Amino acid sequence: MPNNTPRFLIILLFIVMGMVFLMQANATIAHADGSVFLAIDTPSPTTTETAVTATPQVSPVPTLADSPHAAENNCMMCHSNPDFYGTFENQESVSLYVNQTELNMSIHADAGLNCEACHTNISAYPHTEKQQLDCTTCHPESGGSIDTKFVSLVVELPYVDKRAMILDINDKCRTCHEEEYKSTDGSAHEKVFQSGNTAAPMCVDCHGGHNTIKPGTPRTVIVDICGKCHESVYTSYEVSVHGDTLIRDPANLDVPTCIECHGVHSVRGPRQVTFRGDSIVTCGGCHGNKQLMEKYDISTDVFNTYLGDYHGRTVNLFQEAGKTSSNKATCYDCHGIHNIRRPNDSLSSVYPANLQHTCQQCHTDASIRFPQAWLSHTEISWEKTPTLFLIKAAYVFLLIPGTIGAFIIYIALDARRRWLDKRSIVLKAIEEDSDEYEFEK
Amino acid sequence: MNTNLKNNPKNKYADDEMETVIARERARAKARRILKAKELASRLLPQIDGSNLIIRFNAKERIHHFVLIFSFTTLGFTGLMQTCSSWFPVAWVINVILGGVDTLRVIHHLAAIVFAIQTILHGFDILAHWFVKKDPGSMMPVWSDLTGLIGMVKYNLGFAKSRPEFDRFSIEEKLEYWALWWGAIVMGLTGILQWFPSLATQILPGIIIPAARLIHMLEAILAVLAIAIWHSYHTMVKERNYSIFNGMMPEHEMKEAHPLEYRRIIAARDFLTNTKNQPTQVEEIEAEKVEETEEIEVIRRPHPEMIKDELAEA
Repeated sequence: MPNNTPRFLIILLFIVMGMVFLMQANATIAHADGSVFLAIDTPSPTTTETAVTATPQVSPVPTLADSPHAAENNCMMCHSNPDFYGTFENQESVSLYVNQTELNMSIHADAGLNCEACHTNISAYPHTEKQQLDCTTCHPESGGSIDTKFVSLVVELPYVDKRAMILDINDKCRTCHEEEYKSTDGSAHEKVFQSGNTAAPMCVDCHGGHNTIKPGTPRTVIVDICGKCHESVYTSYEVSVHGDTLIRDPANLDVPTCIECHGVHSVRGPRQVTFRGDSIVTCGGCHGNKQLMEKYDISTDVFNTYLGDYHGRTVNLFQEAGKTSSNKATCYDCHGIHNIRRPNDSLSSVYPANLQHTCQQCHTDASIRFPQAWLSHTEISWEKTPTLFLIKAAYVFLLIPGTIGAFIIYIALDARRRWLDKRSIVLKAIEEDSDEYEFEK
Repeated sequence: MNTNLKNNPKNKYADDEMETVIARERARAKARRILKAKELASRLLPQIDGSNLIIRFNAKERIHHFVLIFSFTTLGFTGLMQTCSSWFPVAWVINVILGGVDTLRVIHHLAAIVFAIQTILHGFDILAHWFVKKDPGSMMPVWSDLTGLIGMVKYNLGFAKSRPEFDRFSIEEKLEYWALWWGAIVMGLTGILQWFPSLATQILPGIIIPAARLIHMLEAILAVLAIAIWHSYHTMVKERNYSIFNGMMPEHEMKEAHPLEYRRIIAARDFLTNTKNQPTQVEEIEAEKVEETEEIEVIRRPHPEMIKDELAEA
C-alpha cells in the first residue's frame, strides 16, 4: 500500500481536475445555448473566476452608467467570491457567495432565468447607496488587489436581519408562481406565519434559493426537506413501512412521502377540524386502489371492510358531513401515524400480540378476547371465518328466502281463494238474477 | 248420595257431612260457570242496528300494540339506515336531517330500551297467566293449530269445502306472535352484545361480536320483511282489521275469522238469558265467595299422612 500512495494521490488529482473541467464545460455549454443563467460578459468564454481575474479593460475614469458593472450579467463578478459577506443592521453576518455549480443545476437556470428575475430590485451596481465598494478593492490600476477572487469583501445590507432579507426575496416567487403562492392560504405554515412567527417556512426554506431543483427529484428530497424541521416525525417515518420503502427505492412513485398525505403548499395540520375525518380518504385513496395494491400484494378489502364496520361507518358519515371528527377509530388510530409498520412486524401496533393494548386506547376495559372480535379487515369467508360464513349462509339461503317465500306462497294462495270466493258469490247472484228475465234466452 | 265417594278411602269427610259438601261444591261449580258466562257475554256490545260488536282487546293490549308500532318502526328505520348508510340519500338523511350518526344511534338505543321493557313486561304477564292463573292462554300453540294450517292450505288449494274454524287466534296470528318473540329475543341478545362489546368479551369469545352484528342485521331484514308482507296482508289487505286499535270487531267478521270464540260468546249469552240457569240463593252466596277469593275449592285430596290409620285399617 505505501508504494501505491503517490500514484493514488496523482489519480485523485486528475479526478479533481477533471471535475473542475467538467464544471467549467457545463458553464460554457450553458453560454452557448443562450439560456445561460449568469452570462459573464467577458472576452474569454471561460469561468467567472478567470473572467474576474482577467479584467483589465476598465476605463481609467469610469462612470457608473457605462461601467460594465451596470450590466446585469456581472453579478458573479463579486458573488462568486467565497469571501464575500454582508452585514445586517443587527450586525448579523451572511455570506453573499453564490455557488455557480448549484446555480447552473437549478431548475431556474434551465428555464433561462437570470439573477434579476428574482432579485428585481437589483439591476445595477451599486445596489443601494450603502453598498459602495471602493474601486480600488478590485482594480489594480487604482491600487486594488490583483487576485480579487479571494479578496475579502464586506458590505452593509439594507435589512434588519437575515430573515427579513429572505422574506423580502421570498415575495418575488409570487411573480411567476402566483397559483402556488395562493394555495398556501390557510395552510398550517401560513397560519404560523400569520401568528407573527417569521420563522415559519416560506417558499425558499423548502425549495432552496439559488439551488432550487425540480420538486421531488428524487422523492427522498421531500422527506428530507420536511425532516429538517419535523425531526421527530422524520425519525419515526424513516423506519415505517412507507419510509423504509422510499429510502430503499427513491424512484418508487407509489409510496407516500409527507406531501401525499399532508398536501404540499396547502399543507394541513393534524389539528385541523376535518383532517381526522379526511384521513380515511387519504389512506383509502391508495389502499382502496386495486391496481396499486396488487403490486404489493395488499388487499383492497382493508378499505371496504373498514367502511363496513362500526368505526369506518361512523367516521365516513362524519367525513361526508364535513364535521368535527367522531371519536371512532380512523386508520391511524390503530396502525400508527408516521410509524406505520407491516401488520406482521412485531413492533406494529396491529401485530396480534399488541392488539389488545391498541384496542385499550379507546376500549379501556378490553379483555384479551376483545381483539378476536376484529376480523382483520377480511370479508366473511369459509376459510377465515367459518362461523360467520355459516350464519350468513343460513340466513341468506335458508331462513330469509324460506320464511318470506313461504309467506308469499301462502298469501298468494289465500288471495286467490278469496278472489274466487267473491267471484262465485257474484256469479251466483247474476245467475239467480238472470232467471227473472227468461225472455232473454 | 254418592256411594262411590262414601267408600273412597281417601274421603276424609264424615257421612253426615257429605251431603252438605257435595251441595256446596255443586253450587260453586255452577257459580263458576255463571261467572265465566258473564265474563264472556260482557264482551258482546249490542248496537242500535241490532248487530253486535265484540270486544277483542282490552286497553292494556291496545296500548301495548301502539307502543310496539312506535318502537318497532323506529328500530327498523334507524337500524336499516345504519346498514345502508353509505348510500347517499341515507347519508344525507342521517347527516342533514338527524344531525349525525350519533343521534341516529341514540334514537335506536332509546327505541330498543322501550321495546325491551315492553317485551319483558309482556313476558311477566304471560308467566303470571301460566303460573298464577294456571291458564295456558289463548296464544299457546296447540295441536289443532297444525290441523288448522293444513286445513287452510287445503281450502286455499281447493281440496276442502270450508275454512277450518279458529278460536280466539288463528294460525296466522299465532305464527306472527311467536315470530315476534323469536325476533325480540334474537335482536335483543345480539343488540346487547353489540352495545357492550368489551363487557361481552370478558366472558365470551370475541367472534360473538361480529356474529351478533351479522345476525342482528340479517334478522332485522327478516323481521321487517315479515311485518311488511305477512302482518300487513293479514290485517290490512285481506280485510281491514282495526280491532287492535279500537278493541272491537264487528259480529260478521268475528263469525268468519274466529267462529269458535264467537259461538262460545253467544252460548254464554244464551246461557245467562235462560231462566233455568238463574242461580239459587245458595248458589249466589257461593258465587260471591268465589268472586271474593277467586279460589276454587275442590274436594281436596288429603295427604297420605293424614289418613295413614284409615289406610292401614283398609
